[in-house]
Amino acid sequence: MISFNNVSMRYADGFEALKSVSFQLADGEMAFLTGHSGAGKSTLLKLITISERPASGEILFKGLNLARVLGKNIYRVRRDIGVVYQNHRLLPEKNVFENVALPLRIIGTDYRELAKRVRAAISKVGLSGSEKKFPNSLSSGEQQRVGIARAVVSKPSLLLADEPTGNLDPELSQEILKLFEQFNQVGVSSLIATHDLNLLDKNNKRKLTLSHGVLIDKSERIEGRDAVL
Amino acid sequence: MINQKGSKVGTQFFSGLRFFFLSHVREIKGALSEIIGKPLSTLVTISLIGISIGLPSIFVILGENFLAGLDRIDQSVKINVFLDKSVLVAEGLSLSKEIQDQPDVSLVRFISAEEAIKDFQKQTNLSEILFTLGQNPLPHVVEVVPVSFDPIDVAILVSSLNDLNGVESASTNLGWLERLYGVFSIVRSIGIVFAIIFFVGLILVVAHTIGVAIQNKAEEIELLLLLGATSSFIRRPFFYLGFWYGLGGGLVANIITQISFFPLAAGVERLAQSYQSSFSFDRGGSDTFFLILLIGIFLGATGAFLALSKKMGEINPKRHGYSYK
Repeated sequence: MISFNNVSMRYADGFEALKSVSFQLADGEMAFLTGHSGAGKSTLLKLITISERPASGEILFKGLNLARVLGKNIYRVRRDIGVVYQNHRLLPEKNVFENVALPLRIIGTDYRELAKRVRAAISKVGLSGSEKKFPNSLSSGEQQRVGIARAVVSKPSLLLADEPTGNLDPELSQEILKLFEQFNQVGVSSLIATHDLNLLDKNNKRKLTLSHGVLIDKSERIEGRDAVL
Repeated sequence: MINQKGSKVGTQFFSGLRFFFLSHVREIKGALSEIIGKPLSTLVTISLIGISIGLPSIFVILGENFLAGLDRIDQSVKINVFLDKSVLVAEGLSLSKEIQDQPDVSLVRFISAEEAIKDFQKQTNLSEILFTLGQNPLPHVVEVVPVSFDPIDVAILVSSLNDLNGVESASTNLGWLERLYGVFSIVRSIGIVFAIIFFVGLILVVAHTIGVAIQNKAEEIELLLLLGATSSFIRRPFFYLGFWYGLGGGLVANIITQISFFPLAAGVERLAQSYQSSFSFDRGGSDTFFLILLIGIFLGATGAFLALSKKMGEINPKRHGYSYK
């Protein structure tokens, strides 16, 4: 699904966020990206969404090198990746339905199909009946569910999450994790950046551990389908 | 197989066309809802646009009315062509016909020396003095009404008439006409200067208003870019915002123009009457109405384009792979 080969990333101020990182995430695999604050987790995710460019190395996504991708391919890659953010990034003036529908509106989905898929995604995250509610009227956990529904509504090949349980209590965190596992079970590859030890301890997925921009642990194979690194 | 492929391509084409059309309709509606949702700021913006277009429009329409008024002053602009004393009546009539055939001549009237002296006697009561002269001192005259009343065209015609065989001299009193054209020229120049100043100001007003709208939606724009929106998808609502502001401004400009003409029209008609012209003031028809609307829409869209060029670049193009070209 995605392959990092000797990827390094340096910000304009000289800070080296990633140092020669290499790993692979197989089709249908779910893995955690962990490490301390500032270890490079968010930077790694930004490289996948082409929000940042690496200083060196290659990032292959479905055979496309994201380090060099330009023009329309940027839009195509982003449309094939669902992203869940720690702060949800919901638009406050749009209701739940409209927020979840955004990725489908962008790709020009017919309204009937759009409505069907949006309602299905909202139902999947357990928010049926909340379509007309606005984000400000929802709890933090509900807002995160809306963010997840938006990330999966366009049926992306890859689901990324940047600290998805950062603002949630342990019980809600487990519920959110279950949602990711459900999507993974239907074949969606997932990479979840978190330093929530509680979350990491309670599952058996592979963990990629970053420390000061270096991938120090990538070989913990839990499931048979995980790629050989 | 080929038919199936062709059918698939056709379906994709029409599906794409449908998406294109529907997305534009949605954005037009969305932009309209947005400006209706902020009635006060919308009123201020479209009023500014309306005034900026309306003032120069008033001057331009006034100028056009002056021009139309001048076209009707057919009794006042005459060229008197005085023929040589040696020219006989028959020759004078022939020369009149020759002048009438010129394309820049509207009307001619031949006045023989005998008719002229009779008129002179009637108007002056100086028949005794004329009797003492023993012979008619007046030449045959051809009165010429030109097609164009533009002083330059009239001067060219006078010059060409002076060059004709049998013509002693041709002259006209162009002074008042030149003054009138001078007034018209000033009105038109003021209109053009006002138009340039106001239109530049108007573009900046629209650019600022839409720039603020873009700034307010910076977070949404960043999110849409991350979700894979194209630059045209992002730009479209702001262009339609400019369109609606321009259209609204154009409507206000038409209202301002028409209201202003109530007191102005009477004044202009009085001025025209003083120049022996009778015409009704033309407030501009449907073509003027639509032209003002189009100017508004064009300027609104230009303002939107400027705002997008500036602001979209500020929303971190490098990070989001955004390039405004």
